[in-house]
Amino acid sequence: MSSELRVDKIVPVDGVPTGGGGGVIQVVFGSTTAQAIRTHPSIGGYDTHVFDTNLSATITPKFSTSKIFVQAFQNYSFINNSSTQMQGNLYICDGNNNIIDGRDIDFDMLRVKNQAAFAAICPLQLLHSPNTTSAFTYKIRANFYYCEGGSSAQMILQNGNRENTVSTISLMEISA
Amino acid sequence: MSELRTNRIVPRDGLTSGTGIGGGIIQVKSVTKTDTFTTQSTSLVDVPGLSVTITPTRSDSKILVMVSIAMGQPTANFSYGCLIRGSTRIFVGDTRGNRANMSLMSYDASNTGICNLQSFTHMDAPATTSAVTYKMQVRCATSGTTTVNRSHRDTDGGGGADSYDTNQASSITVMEVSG
Repeated sequence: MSSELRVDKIVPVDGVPTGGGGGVIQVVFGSTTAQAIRTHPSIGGYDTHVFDTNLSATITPKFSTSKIFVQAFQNYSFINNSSTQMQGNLYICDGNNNIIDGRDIDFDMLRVKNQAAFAAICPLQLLHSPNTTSAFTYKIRANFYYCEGGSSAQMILQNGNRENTVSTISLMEISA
Repeated sequence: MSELRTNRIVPRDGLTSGTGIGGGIIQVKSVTKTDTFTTQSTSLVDVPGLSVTITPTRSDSKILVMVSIAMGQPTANFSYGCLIRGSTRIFVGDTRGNRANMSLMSYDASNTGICNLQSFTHMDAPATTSAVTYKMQVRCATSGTTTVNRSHRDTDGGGGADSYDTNQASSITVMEVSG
Protein backbone atom coordinates (compact mmCIF):
# COMPACT_ATOMS: atom_id res chain seq x y z
CA MET A 1 0.00 0.00 0.00
CA SER A 2 1.31 3.39 -0.94
CA SER A 3 1.08 6.31 1.44
CA GLU A 4 2.10 9.89 0.97
CA LEU A 5 2.85 12.53 3.53
CA ARG A 6 2.34 16.14 2.51
CA VAL A 7 3.61 18.50 5.12
CA ASP A 8 4.76 22.01 5.77
CA LYS A 9 7.15 21.06 8.51
CA ILE A 10 8.70 18.01 10.10
CA VAL A 11 9.89 18.50 13.67
CA PRO A 12 10.70 16.20 16.59
CA VAL A 13 7.90 15.85 19.14
CA ASP A 14 9.79 18.06 21.58
CA GLY A 15 10.61 20.74 19.02
CA VAL A 16 13.60 21.72 16.96
CA PRO A 17 17.01 21.72 18.67
CA THR A 18 18.68 25.08 19.19
CA GLY A 19 20.98 25.94 16.30
CA GLY A 20 19.72 23.05 14.25
CA GLY A 21 16.66 22.00 12.34
CA GLY A 22 14.01 19.35 11.97
CA GLY A 23 13.24 17.03 9.07
CA VAL A 24 14.10 17.40 5.42
CA ILE A 25 11.23 18.78 3.34
CA GLN A 26 12.89 18.88 -0.06
CA VAL A 27 16.22 18.23 -1.70
CA VAL A 28 17.80 19.92 -4.70
CA PHE A 29 20.88 18.48 -6.34
CA GLY A 30 23.22 20.04 -8.84
CA SER A 31 26.39 18.92 -10.57
CA THR A 32 28.80 20.06 -13.23
CA THR A 33 31.57 18.70 -15.38
CA ALA A 34 32.21 22.06 -17.03
CA GLN A 35 35.76 23.21 -16.45
CA ALA A 36 36.62 26.58 -14.99
CA ILE A 37 40.21 27.73 -15.39
CA ARG A 38 42.16 30.60 -13.87
CA THR A 39 45.71 31.29 -15.01
CA HIS A 40 47.68 33.06 -12.31
CA PRO A 41 48.44 36.56 -13.62
CA SER A 42 51.51 37.33 -11.48
CA ILE A 43 53.76 34.45 -10.49
CA GLY A 44 55.36 35.27 -7.15
CA GLY A 45 52.53 37.66 -6.34
CA TYR A 46 48.90 37.55 -5.31
CA ASP A 47 45.63 37.42 -7.24
CA THR A 48 42.38 38.66 -5.69
CA HIS A 49 40.14 37.72 -8.62
CA VAL A 50 37.20 35.52 -7.59
CA PHE A 51 35.51 33.46 -10.29
CA ASP A 52 32.64 30.99 -10.73
CA THR A 53 33.50 27.31 -10.60
CA ASN A 54 30.31 26.51 -12.59
CA LEU A 55 28.88 24.63 -9.59
CA SER A 56 25.52 25.98 -8.42
CA ALA A 57 21.98 25.00 -7.43
CA THR A 58 18.77 26.90 -6.75
CA ILE A 59 16.12 26.11 -4.17
CA THR A 60 12.78 27.73 -3.40
CA PRO A 61 12.15 27.37 0.34
CA LYS A 62 8.60 26.59 1.36
CA PHE A 63 8.98 28.72 4.49
CA SER A 64 11.05 31.77 5.24
CA THR A 65 11.96 30.21 8.56
CA SER A 66 13.46 27.11 6.95
CA LYS A 67 17.17 26.52 6.98
CA ILE A 68 19.10 25.25 4.00
CA PHE A 69 21.79 22.67 4.52
CA VAL A 70 24.36 23.20 1.79
CA GLN A 71 26.81 20.42 1.06
CA ALA A 72 29.21 20.79 -1.86
CA PHE A 73 32.11 18.72 -3.08
CA GLN A 74 34.30 20.81 -5.33
CA ASN A 75 36.96 19.16 -7.45
CA TYR A 76 40.02 21.35 -7.90
CA SER A 77 43.53 21.07 -9.20
CA PHE A 78 46.68 23.14 -9.42
CA ILE A 79 48.95 22.66 -12.43
CA ASN A 80 52.33 24.23 -13.00
CA ASN A 81 55.32 23.66 -15.26
CA SER A 82 57.55 23.20 -12.22
CA SER A 83 57.10 22.01 -8.66
CA THR A 84 56.20 24.91 -6.42
CA GLN A 85 53.78 26.23 -3.83
CA MET A 86 50.27 27.25 -4.85
CA GLN A 87 47.35 28.52 -2.79
CA GLY A 88 43.66 29.08 -3.42
CA ASN A 89 40.30 29.65 -1.80
CA LEU A 90 36.75 28.40 -2.24
CA TYR A 91 33.60 30.22 -1.21
CA ILE A 92 29.90 29.50 -0.89
CA CYS A 93 28.14 32.50 -2.44
CA ASP A 94 24.60 33.59 -3.24
CA GLY A 95 23.34 34.26 -6.74
CA ASN A 96 24.69 37.82 -6.61
CA ASN A 97 28.21 36.62 -5.78
CA ASN A 98 28.00 37.73 -2.17
CA ILE A 99 30.15 35.47 -0.02
CA ILE A 100 28.04 33.56 2.50
CA ASP A 101 30.75 31.31 3.78
CA GLY A 102 34.46 31.70 3.35
CA ARG A 103 37.36 33.45 4.96
CA ASP A 104 39.12 36.61 3.83
CA ILE A 105 40.70 36.33 0.45
CA ASP A 106 44.20 36.19 1.87
CA PHE A 107 43.36 33.05 3.81
CA ASP A 108 44.78 30.20 1.77
CA MET A 109 42.15 27.54 2.26
CA LEU A 110 43.83 25.29 -0.29
CA ARG A 111 47.59 24.98 -0.28
CA VAL A 112 49.98 22.63 -2.02
CA LYS A 113 53.75 22.63 -1.73
CA ASN A 114 56.39 21.16 -4.03
CA GLN A 115 53.74 20.15 -6.55
CA ALA A 116 53.57 20.51 -10.31
CA ALA A 117 50.21 18.75 -10.48
CA PHE A 118 47.81 18.27 -7.65
CA ALA A 119 44.14 17.28 -7.64
CA ALA A 120 41.68 16.77 -4.82
CA ILE A 121 38.10 17.25 -3.69
CA CYS A 122 37.22 19.94 -1.18
CA PRO A 123 34.08 19.44 0.92
CA LEU A 124 32.06 22.53 1.90
CA GLN A 125 29.15 22.50 4.34
CA LEU A 126 26.90 25.24 5.63
CA LEU A 127 23.57 25.52 7.47
CA HIS A 128 22.15 28.77 6.15
CA SER A 129 19.01 30.81 6.81
CA PRO A 130 18.06 32.59 3.56
CA ASN A 131 14.90 34.06 5.15
CA THR A 132 12.93 33.93 1.93
CA THR A 133 10.39 31.89 0.02
CA SER A 134 11.79 33.10 -3.30
CA ALA A 135 14.23 31.13 -5.38
CA PHE A 136 17.68 31.29 -3.78
CA THR A 137 20.85 30.30 -5.57
CA TYR A 138 23.94 28.89 -3.95
CA LYS A 139 27.11 28.85 -6.03
CA ILE A 140 30.72 27.96 -5.43
CA ARG A 141 33.37 30.50 -6.40
CA ALA A 142 37.14 30.25 -6.30
CA ASN A 143 40.28 32.33 -6.07
CA PHE A 144 43.80 31.34 -7.20
CA TYR A 145 45.48 33.42 -4.52
CA TYR A 146 49.19 32.72 -4.77
CA CYS A 147 51.73 30.93 -6.90
CA GLU A 148 55.34 30.91 -5.77
CA GLY A 149 57.22 29.77 -8.87
CA GLY A 150 57.18 28.32 -12.35
CA SER A 151 56.09 30.24 -15.41
CA SER A 152 52.70 28.75 -16.17
CA ALA A 153 50.27 28.15 -13.30
CA GLN A 154 46.60 27.26 -13.48
CA MET A 155 43.87 26.50 -10.99
CA ILE A 156 41.38 24.23 -12.71
CA LEU A 157 38.00 23.13 -11.43
CA GLN A 158 36.50 19.84 -12.63
CA ASN A 159 39.79 18.59 -13.97
CA GLY A 160 42.20 16.36 -12.13
CA ASN A 161 45.10 16.61 -14.59
CA ARG A 162 44.80 12.95 -15.55
CA GLU A 163 41.09 12.41 -15.07
CA ASN A 164 37.75 14.12 -15.67
CA THR A 165 35.55 14.50 -12.66
CA VAL A 166 32.23 15.83 -11.44
CA SER A 167 31.59 18.41 -8.74
CA THR A 168 28.30 18.32 -6.85
CA ILE A 169 26.14 20.43 -4.60
CA SER A 170 23.18 19.32 -2.47
CA LEU A 171 20.63 21.66 -0.90
CA MET A 172 18.30 20.34 1.77
CA GLU A 173 15.44 22.45 3.14
CA ILE A 174 15.38 21.78 6.86
CA SER A 175 12.27 22.55 8.88
CA ALA A 176 12.81 25.18 11.55
CA MET B 1 6.47 8.19 21.60
CA SER B 2 5.12 8.65 18.11
CA GLU B 3 6.12 6.98 14.88
CA LEU B 4 5.35 7.97 11.32
CA ARG B 5 5.34 5.34 8.57
CA THR B 6 5.10 6.52 4.97
CA ASN B 7 6.81 5.94 1.64
CA ARG B 8 6.68 9.47 0.32
CA ILE B 9 7.28 12.88 1.90
CA VAL B 10 6.73 16.00 -0.16
CA PRO B 11 6.03 19.66 0.58
CA ARG B 12 2.29 20.36 0.92
CA ASP B 13 2.11 22.06 -2.50
CA GLY B 14 4.16 19.39 -4.22
CA LEU B 15 7.66 19.33 -5.57
CA THR B 16 9.17 21.97 -7.79
CA SER B 17 9.61 20.45 -11.24
CA GLY B 18 13.04 19.90 -12.71
CA THR B 19 15.94 17.53 -12.55
CA GLY B 20 17.75 16.96 -9.29
CA ILE B 21 14.64 17.77 -7.24
CA GLY B 22 13.32 15.55 -4.45
CA GLY B 23 11.27 15.64 -1.29
CA GLY B 24 11.87 14.27 2.18
CA ILE B 25 14.06 11.35 3.15
CA ILE B 26 12.30 8.00 3.54
CA GLN B 27 15.12 5.69 4.53
CA VAL B 28 18.87 5.65 5.01
CA LYS B 29 21.42 2.86 4.75
CA SER B 30 25.15 3.04 5.36
CA VAL B 31 28.28 0.93 5.41
CA THR B 32 31.67 1.69 6.89
CA LYS B 33 34.88 -0.08 5.97
CA THR B 34 37.61 0.03 8.62
CA ASP B 35 40.09 -2.58 7.36
CA THR B 36 42.59 -1.97 4.59
CA PHE B 37 42.74 -3.00 0.94
CA THR B 38 45.53 -2.99 -1.60
CA THR B 39 45.53 -3.61 -5.34
CA GLN B 40 47.96 -3.34 -8.24
CA SER B 41 45.23 -3.77 -10.82
CA THR B 42 45.02 -1.29 -13.70
CA SER B 43 41.39 -2.28 -14.20
CA LEU B 44 38.66 -1.27 -11.76
CA VAL B 45 38.21 -3.79 -8.94
CA ASP B 46 35.76 -3.90 -6.04
CA VAL B 47 36.82 -2.54 -2.68
CA PRO B 48 35.73 -5.38 -0.37
CA GLY B 49 33.26 -4.27 2.25
CA LEU B 50 32.55 -0.94 0.61
CA SER B 51 29.14 -1.58 -0.92
CA VAL B 52 25.60 -0.94 0.28
CA THR B 53 22.26 -2.18 -1.01
CA ILE B 54 18.99 -0.29 -0.77
CA THR B 55 15.51 -1.27 -1.94
CA PRO B 56 13.55 1.86 -2.93
CA THR B 57 9.96 1.92 -1.74
CA ARG B 58 8.82 3.66 -4.94
CA SER B 59 10.21 3.63 -8.46
CA ASP B 60 10.11 7.42 -8.67
CA SER B 61 12.30 7.82 -5.61
CA LYS B 62 15.80 9.17 -5.97
CA ILE B 63 18.85 7.92 -4.15
CA LEU B 64 21.30 10.42 -2.69
CA VAL B 65 24.65 8.61 -2.51
CA MET B 66 27.33 9.99 -0.19
CA VAL B 67 30.81 8.50 -0.46
CA SER B 68 33.98 9.02 1.55
CA ILE B 69 37.01 6.93 0.63
CA ALA B 70 40.57 7.16 1.95
CA MET B 71 43.12 6.34 -0.75
CA GLY B 72 46.89 6.30 -1.08
CA GLN B 73 49.50 5.41 -3.68
CA PRO B 74 53.29 5.51 -4.22
CA THR B 75 54.95 8.84 -4.94
CA ALA B 76 53.92 10.30 -8.29
CA ASN B 77 51.54 7.45 -9.07
CA PHE B 78 47.90 7.96 -9.94
CA SER B 79 45.03 6.07 -8.31
CA TYR B 80 41.45 6.28 -9.53
CA GLY B 81 38.09 5.56 -7.90
CA CYS B 82 34.68 5.07 -9.44
CA LEU B 83 31.12 4.81 -8.11
CA ILE B 84 29.28 1.77 -9.43
CA ARG B 85 25.54 1.01 -9.45
CA GLY B 86 25.19 -2.74 -9.99
CA SER B 87 27.79 -3.12 -12.72
CA THR B 88 27.38 0.33 -14.27
CA ARG B 89 29.88 3.13 -13.74
CA ILE B 90 28.02 6.23 -12.64
CA PHE B 91 29.14 9.68 -11.53
CA VAL B 92 32.01 10.08 -13.96
CA GLY B 93 33.27 13.08 -15.87
CA ASP B 94 32.75 13.80 -19.55
CA THR B 95 34.91 12.26 -22.24
CA ARG B 96 37.84 14.55 -23.05
CA GLY B 97 40.94 13.48 -24.96
CA ASN B 98 42.59 10.38 -23.54
CA ARG B 99 41.66 11.18 -19.94
CA ALA B 100 40.08 8.52 -17.78
CA ASN B 101 36.46 9.19 -16.83
CA MET B 102 36.37 8.64 -13.08
CA SER B 103 34.69 9.78 -9.88
CA LEU B 104 37.92 10.76 -8.20
CA MET B 105 41.70 10.63 -8.36
CA SER B 106 44.42 10.42 -5.73
CA TYR B 107 47.92 11.70 -6.50
CA ASP B 108 50.85 13.25 -4.72
CA ALA B 109 54.09 14.20 -6.46
CA SER B 110 56.38 13.83 -3.48
CA ASN B 111 54.72 12.00 -0.63
CA THR B 112 54.15 8.27 -0.29
CA GLY B 113 52.80 8.67 3.23
CA ILE B 114 49.56 10.26 2.17
CA CYS B 115 46.08 8.76 2.55
CA ASN B 116 43.54 11.21 1.12
CA LEU B 117 40.01 11.07 2.48
CA GLN B 118 37.97 12.17 -0.51
CA SER B 119 34.21 12.66 -0.51
CA PHE B 120 31.44 13.29 -2.99
CA THR B 121 27.68 13.02 -3.41
CA HIS B 122 25.55 11.86 -6.29
CA MET B 123 21.77 11.99 -6.82
CA ASP B 124 20.81 8.84 -8.66
CA ALA B 125 17.46 7.83 -10.15
CA PRO B 126 17.51 4.02 -10.43
CA ALA B 127 13.77 3.89 -11.38
CA THR B 128 13.11 0.58 -9.65
CA THR B 129 11.70 -0.95 -6.51
CA SER B 130 14.19 -3.81 -6.69
CA ALA B 131 17.32 -3.92 -4.60
CA VAL B 132 20.07 -1.61 -5.89
CA THR B 133 23.71 -1.97 -4.87
CA TYR B 134 26.14 0.94 -4.82
CA LYS B 135 29.86 0.26 -4.43
CA MET B 136 33.26 1.76 -5.00
CA GLN B 137 35.87 0.35 -7.36
CA VAL B 138 39.49 1.49 -7.57
CA ARG B 139 42.44 1.01 -9.90
CA CYS B 140 45.97 2.16 -10.60
CA ALA B 141 46.37 4.40 -13.63
CA THR B 142 49.23 2.54 -15.31
CA SER B 143 51.33 0.97 -12.55
CA GLY B 144 52.03 1.05 -8.84
CA THR B 145 49.70 0.26 -5.98
CA THR B 146 46.40 1.66 -4.83
CA THR B 147 45.70 1.47 -1.12
CA VAL B 148 42.45 2.04 0.75
CA ASN B 149 42.38 3.19 4.38
CA ARG B 150 46.20 3.25 4.65
CA SER B 151 49.17 4.94 3.04
CA HIS B 152 51.32 3.09 0.54
CA ARG B 153 54.46 3.23 2.68
CA ASP B 154 52.70 1.85 5.77
CA THR B 155 54.14 -1.63 6.25
CA ASP B 156 52.90 -2.18 9.80
CA GLY B 157 56.58 -2.50 10.67
CA GLY B 158 56.27 -0.44 13.82
CA GLY B 159 59.20 1.84 13.08
CA GLY B 160 60.27 4.69 10.84
CA ALA B 161 58.16 7.44 9.38
CA ASP B 162 55.32 5.09 8.50
CA SER B 163 54.64 4.51 12.17
CA TYR B 164 52.99 7.93 12.15
CA ASP B 165 50.67 7.02 9.29
CA THR B 166 47.04 6.39 10.11
CA ASN B 167 44.50 3.64 9.78
CA GLN B 168 41.47 5.34 8.27
CA ALA B 169 37.89 4.46 7.40
CA SER B 170 35.73 4.75 4.30
CA SER B 171 31.97 4.78 3.99
CA ILE B 172 28.98 4.88 1.66
CA THR B 173 25.64 6.28 2.83
CA VAL B 174 22.54 6.14 0.68
CA MET B 175 19.31 8.07 1.30
CA GLU B 176 16.01 7.40 -0.46
CA VAL B 177 14.64 10.82 -1.37
CA SER B 178 10.96 11.08 -2.27
CA GLY B 179 10.44 11.74 -5.97
